[in-house]
Amino acid sequence: MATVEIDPSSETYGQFAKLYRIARRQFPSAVDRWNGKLYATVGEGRRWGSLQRDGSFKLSKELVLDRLAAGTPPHKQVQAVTTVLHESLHARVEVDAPLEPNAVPSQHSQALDEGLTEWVAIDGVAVFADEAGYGQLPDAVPEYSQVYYATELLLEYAAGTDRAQELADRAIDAPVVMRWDVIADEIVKNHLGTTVPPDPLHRQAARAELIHAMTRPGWLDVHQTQANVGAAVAQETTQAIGAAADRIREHYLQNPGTPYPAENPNFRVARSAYQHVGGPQERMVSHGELRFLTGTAPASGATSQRPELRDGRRAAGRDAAYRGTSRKGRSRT
Amino acid sequence: MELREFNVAHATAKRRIRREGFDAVPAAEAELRALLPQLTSDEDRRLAVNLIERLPGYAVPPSPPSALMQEAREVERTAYEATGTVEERAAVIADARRQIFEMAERASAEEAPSIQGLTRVLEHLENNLRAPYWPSDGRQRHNGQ
Repeated sequence: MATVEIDPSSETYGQFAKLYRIARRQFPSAVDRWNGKLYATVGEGRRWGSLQRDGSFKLSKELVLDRLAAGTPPHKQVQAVTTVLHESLHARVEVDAPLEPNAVPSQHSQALDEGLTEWVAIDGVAVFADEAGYGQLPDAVPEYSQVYYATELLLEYAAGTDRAQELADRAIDAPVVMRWDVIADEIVKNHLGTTVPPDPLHRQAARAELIHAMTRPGWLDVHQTQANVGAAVAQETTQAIGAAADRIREHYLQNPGTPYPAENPNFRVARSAYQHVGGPQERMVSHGELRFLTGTAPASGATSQRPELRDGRRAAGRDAAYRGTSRKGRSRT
Repeated sequence: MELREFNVAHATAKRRIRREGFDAVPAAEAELRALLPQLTSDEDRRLAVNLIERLPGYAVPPSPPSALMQEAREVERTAYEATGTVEERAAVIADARRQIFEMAERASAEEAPSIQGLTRVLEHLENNLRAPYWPSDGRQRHNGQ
């Protein structure tokens, strides 16, 4: 097997770059971790490849890049196009948020990242392929099946079956380590809305306790196996969330004026009165502001002048987000 | 309305149809057609109409996995459960990937890509064994869980 750099003037590069541009049109973001380099593994045809830690894409010539061409059988083509969309989605968000108290810097976040990314890629590939000129391809099959289904059940628990998609769509705008916090925020709103005061300190602490409950050991492996563990992990997770919600309710019966005494999920951030405790929505639209990450509240108006979308996201926020940061990400899995 | 937002509505309708069957299709079509005027370009409306036309297909249950697919999943699961050193486990996984690709060569043209797709997870497991990016659980150092 050889790895070769694809010439930017070549048809293969142009085809990939076109798909990448369409992915970014359909999923706008100011974060763009692709460094413009595209590599192909050639000759083996048995390694799919991914976004690399240096910001380049390395993809199989035989399994992915060749199958993007016209004339490829539709089931192979939709798999290749979905792979490109999946990997492109990884390139549009930051991985870490080192100073956020509710960040989860562990393999749990990797598992959830893959589940969410595959979820969004599977649902997005029909319109993605159509805009790219492939017409109507067959439905894509999730290739991270167990983490896909575990994620699905978690989203439906948090938001309900008819709002799970909106939650997934919102969560993938957050840095990888912050997706649990977005889901925890939904759980607080939908399951603990009358228990936890709207004060940011109270909300952050409640989300932290739910994050501890959600990040079960099963998530460490669920993205790496197709065995039938997804449902079991989801069941274990939702049971743990229920128990955590009970603890939070009990706490507020006894101590209504005090935030739940949860440790920060992010072990790198010591709990203090100065930590940032804004909601996940704020982080998604202004995560890149360095002053924000150092614990200072975002500047007044920094997020307030963007028109609200139907689901509460701020329209211009996607394009305004993340400026000022350029950390390179990890190799995707 | 952004195309992305319409796609979220479509995916929600898709899941509802998969749960409820054909009876849910007319209402889902009507709901999504009502959103079309909110899209901001003719191209987005063309793409959205094509999405709406896919809705009836979601009422058809997917075929159960073939014997070959089940065999491939078993190879994959066994590889995942392998024990030993990093190199030993990586070697088992590499062999499982080889076996699954060979199974895919015996599969129908329609099913072969899905069988091959099982190796994507194994490939990432192999990569992660050799060069882990994340700690297994950063919180363990913090809260003792």
